This record gives sequence, C-alpha cells and structure tokens, in this order.
Amino acid sequence: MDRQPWLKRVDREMARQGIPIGVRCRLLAEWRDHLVDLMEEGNSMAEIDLKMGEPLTVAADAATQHRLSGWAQSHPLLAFGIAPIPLAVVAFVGIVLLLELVFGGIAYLLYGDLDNLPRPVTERIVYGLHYSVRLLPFVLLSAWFTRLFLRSGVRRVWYGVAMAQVLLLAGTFMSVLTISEIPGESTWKMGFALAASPSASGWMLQYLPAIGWDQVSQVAVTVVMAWTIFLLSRWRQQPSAAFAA
Amino acid sequence: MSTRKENDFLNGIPEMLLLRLLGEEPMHGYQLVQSIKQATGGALEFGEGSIYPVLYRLEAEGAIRSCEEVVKGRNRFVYRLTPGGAKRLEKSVANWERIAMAVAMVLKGGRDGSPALA
Repeated sequence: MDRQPWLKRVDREMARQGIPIGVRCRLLAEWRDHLVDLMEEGNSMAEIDLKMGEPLTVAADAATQHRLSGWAQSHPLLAFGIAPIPLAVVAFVGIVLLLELVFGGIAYLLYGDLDNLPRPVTERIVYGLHYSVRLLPFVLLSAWFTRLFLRSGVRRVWYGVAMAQVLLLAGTFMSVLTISEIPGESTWKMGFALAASPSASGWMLQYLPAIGWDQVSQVAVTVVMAWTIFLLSRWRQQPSAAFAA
Repeated sequence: MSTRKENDFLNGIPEMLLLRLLGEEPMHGYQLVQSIKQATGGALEFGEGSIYPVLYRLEAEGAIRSCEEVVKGRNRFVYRLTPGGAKRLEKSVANWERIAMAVAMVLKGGRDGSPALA
C-alpha cells in the first residue's frame, strides 16, 4: 500500500500534469484545510482518504478544471490561429518605441543633447535598434505562445499553427542597415521578404532571394527561446517545489 | 436540436450546485461540501477534494470570488457569488430544467402518446 500522504500524492500528480505552481499551492492550501476539518470531525485516515477521493482522480480533475479556466482553451482559434500576426505588429511597434525611449534616455543623460550626439554613439544606438527589432519581437512571441500552450493545455496543433506563423515572420523579416561615412547617405530598410512589390513584369516576390543567414539566426533564436521555456517549465514542475511552498 | 455546449452542460451539475448554494450565502469549501450533502440527502457521491478545482475554475471565470477570512479561528477562503455568476446560475438552472423535462418526457411517454421506455 502507498503510505505517502494524500496531499503529496495529489501534488506529485498535478505537477506531472503540468499545473503551474501557483495554482497547485492554492489548491493544496484548500485541501489542507479540508483535511484538518475532516480530522476534527473524528474521521480516521482511511475514511479521510475515501472522502477526499482517489489522488489520481482529484489531480486529473484539477488539471481539467485548470485547462478549462483559461481563455485560450475556450478560444484556441483566436488565441493561437489569429492572434500571432496582430501580436507581432504590437510587439514590433512596442519594442521600437520602448528601445527608442531607453536608448534616447541614456544618450540624453550622458550627452544632454540628442540632436548633436557624437557619431559613434548614434551608430551604436542604431545598431542596437537594428539587432533588437530583428530578434526581440520573435523571441517574445515565441515565449508568449509557448507559455500559453503549456498553461492552457490546448492541442498541439494550435501551438503548431501559432509557432508556424511566428517562425514564418522571423524567417522572412529583413532589416538592412547601411552606415555611410557621407552625411545623409546612411540607410535602414525594414520589411518582409514575402511582401510582393511591383515590377516591370507584374507583382513579384523580389526580396525572397535576399533571405540569408540573418533570417536563419532569427529563426534559430526563436526556436531556442521556445525550447528554453519548455525546459524551464519541466524544471519548475518538480513536485517537491510546490509541496514545500 | 442539441448543441455540443448543451451536451457539455450535463457535466456541469457540481458547478450548478455550487453556484446555487453560494447564491444563498458566502461559504468556504468545507461548508459547501457539507451543504451539498445536506441538500441532496447524500444522494450525490463525489470525492470531496474535487470540489476545489471546480471552485478555482469558477473564480477564474469570474462567476465567484474569494477572500481570505478568519472562520472559527482559522484563515479560510470564503467564496461569494458574483453578479456574473448569478446570471450564469439562472441560465444553468433553465437549461437543466429543460433537459430534466425532456428526459422525463421520454421516460414517462412522449407527447404523441408513445409508450415509455421499459
């Protein structure tokens, strides 16, 4: 017979089913109170086990209810099918604005006048923005959808749909920065290689051949972030952590 | 015609009972379990531990809210029905009555006078 206490067995199973630690702690606190009430009523340990229910069943119920409680679970088409592109736009604009504020703020604090920054400083800021917009939006989207998938417990196909869109964006986003020594000649172009543009023979995907190692690195960083979130979630779901909390 | 959502409703009996009881007065989990037993005369058998995940979901969905209160010298999560929960309860009860009536009609004999199921 398994002599492990009821709470510990439920917690171990909840952790195995991927319930986040915050939810587990709250439920464990409730069950702990309930067990105390049952003991105060004079129930034996065997009676308490019987009344509380089979640990595996209770943990499965907890997992089901947790998944049902999420918006993403009840609206997977919106959350995973439609949201990625609008969210990418929001992430991109938000990151550009935030970085401009941060870089501009630092430069202002250091030099006091943003219009007459030393050229090396301006170049560093522009390069910082260039690499940030190439990587950060996709890393954030990858982290967001991986966490949402893990927390909501939707079918894998929905996660696949969302990540396919994120990877497509990451794999086709282009940011081309050309710094020139001649004033006014430096250029910074951004766009998606999948965007069709007019040419003499009609609309063409003329930027597609320009996809190269930059885009490979954008995809790689996006995948690595998703993988890291998976590994972290496994590590955080060790049962002992929640039980001790 | 029955929809998938309506069929899912058949699994929502504990939820309806919890909302109904919380509509009468705020209660903590153990009180709720005792109230269900009392109200149903012990007819519904369930693992008492399974009540809390349902309460957690109802709270996440905004149908109930909880706050920590001292009850008989112990800190307890006391649950209350929200206005949204009250509306949800009304719908659940109406659906349940419709389903119960439909089942009763089949068991007692249909509108056309066809015999009841054996």
